[in-house]
Amino acid sequence: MRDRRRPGSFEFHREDRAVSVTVGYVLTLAVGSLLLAGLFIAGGSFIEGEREQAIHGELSVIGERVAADIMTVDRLANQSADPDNLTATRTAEYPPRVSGDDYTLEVDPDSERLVLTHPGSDVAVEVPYRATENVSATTVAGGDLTIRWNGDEDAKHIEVVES
Amino acid sequence: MAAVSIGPGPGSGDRGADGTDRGQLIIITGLTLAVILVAVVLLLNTAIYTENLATRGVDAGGTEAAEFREASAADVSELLVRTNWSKPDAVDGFGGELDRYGESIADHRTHEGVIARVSGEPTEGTFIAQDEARSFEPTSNYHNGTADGDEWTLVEGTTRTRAYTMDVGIEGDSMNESNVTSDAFRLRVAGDDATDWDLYVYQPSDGDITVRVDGPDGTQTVDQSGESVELNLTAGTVNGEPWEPLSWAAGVEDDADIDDGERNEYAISYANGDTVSGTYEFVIDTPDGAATNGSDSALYSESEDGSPYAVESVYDVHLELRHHTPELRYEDRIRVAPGERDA
Repeated sequence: MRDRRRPGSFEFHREDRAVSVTVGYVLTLAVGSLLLAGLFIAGGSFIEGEREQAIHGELSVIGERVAADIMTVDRLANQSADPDNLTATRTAEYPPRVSGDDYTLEVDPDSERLVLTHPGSDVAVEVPYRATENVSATTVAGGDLTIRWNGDEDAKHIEVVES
Repeated sequence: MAAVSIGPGPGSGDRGADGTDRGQLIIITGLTLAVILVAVVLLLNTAIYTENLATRGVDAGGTEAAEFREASAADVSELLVRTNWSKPDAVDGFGGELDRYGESIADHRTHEGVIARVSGEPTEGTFIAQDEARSFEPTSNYHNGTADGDEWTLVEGTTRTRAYTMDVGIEGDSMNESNVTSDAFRLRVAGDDATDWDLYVYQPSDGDITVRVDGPDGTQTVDQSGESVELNLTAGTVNGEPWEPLSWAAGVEDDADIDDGERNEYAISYANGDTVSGTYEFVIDTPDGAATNGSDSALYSESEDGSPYAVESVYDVHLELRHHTPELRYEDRIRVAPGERDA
């Protein structure tokens, strides 16, 4: 029985093996490609999400520091008995780029807010501040800034300018 | 792309199809993973920097600058009071003291990496006082025979007064309320274009001491028990307790922030000084030259033992402050006048 089946099974096994190699290879490729594509998609969106979160965090921190500096100058101006002759100039160093892209900082005195916009990722952050003195409305590019008191006779205000 | 091509490529055998092509898939997968990991690392790096930035103190030296201003004002205020007491030549003496103070502050702050400077210009004034407890009358040779109880002027042509303290005891009999304005001790602050501000101290029939103020808000009184009453007229306290109606020269003296030399002038006078006794002292912002030309010249030239006298003094000082750090440049001007009404 063994002698009769062995040659036949040998034939069948050999054909079967040839097919299984191809099928196995195709399956491996398909599964591999699927895995790869999944990895790309999942990894890409994960990275994108994390990137936006990191940009959001960094813009918030920068915005809060600018707000703190504006309030520092405001406090000094508010306490001064002679605002005409007051000098209060804060020179601050901020990162010029966030996650590899430029950003802008807008001062909106009407709503007492700083709006930081990152065009590279469409992330915008609003940071509130509170000032007793006037703050002039302006939009500056991110980077090193000077926040200073301007004691002009008629229009005393705090201004934010690029260093 | 070899990795996704089906079947072995040209020249590759069965072993190549099993080994090399699969290896490419692993390499590409590995590379992709590596790229993703590098991106994650870069992002984490940004996040760590952000966290680091966030944990740094947000105050860029504003508090330090404000403290510097307050500390300088307090120190110079003490210096001013001390110099007025100890130096006969108060204005020059104070100038020297202030220079020395500025130098020591500059040296001290340099060690902390701060460029600091304190300089100032003192305003000459006059210190008028009666140190010995006696009646609030001038001396006998003042005004050539001012009669007891008459009104006499201590100063005129002054615009500001500070640190006015008075310790008053009653000498005469208790007084009927209806006679207060004519018979009680009265301190009057009279300006050219303003209603007079009057302060009365007397003993009503119940034995207490009454302090009465006639000002823009009408007549207000407060009763104090005891032998004498301690008034701080510019600080507005009676026996150390704040009493709101006691607002020095309200309606006569201009607010302290008017500082351009066009302030209202006024005179300070006493009447019925023989009904009280005690001590008083105050500083006015008018220097000797102007004061000696006025009716109070005798305070300077003819003082006797125990009589009220006037000496040169520093009224206030305009300080210029500078506090520079790499982060914050702060320069400000302040006026120091210890014991002023609005101070």
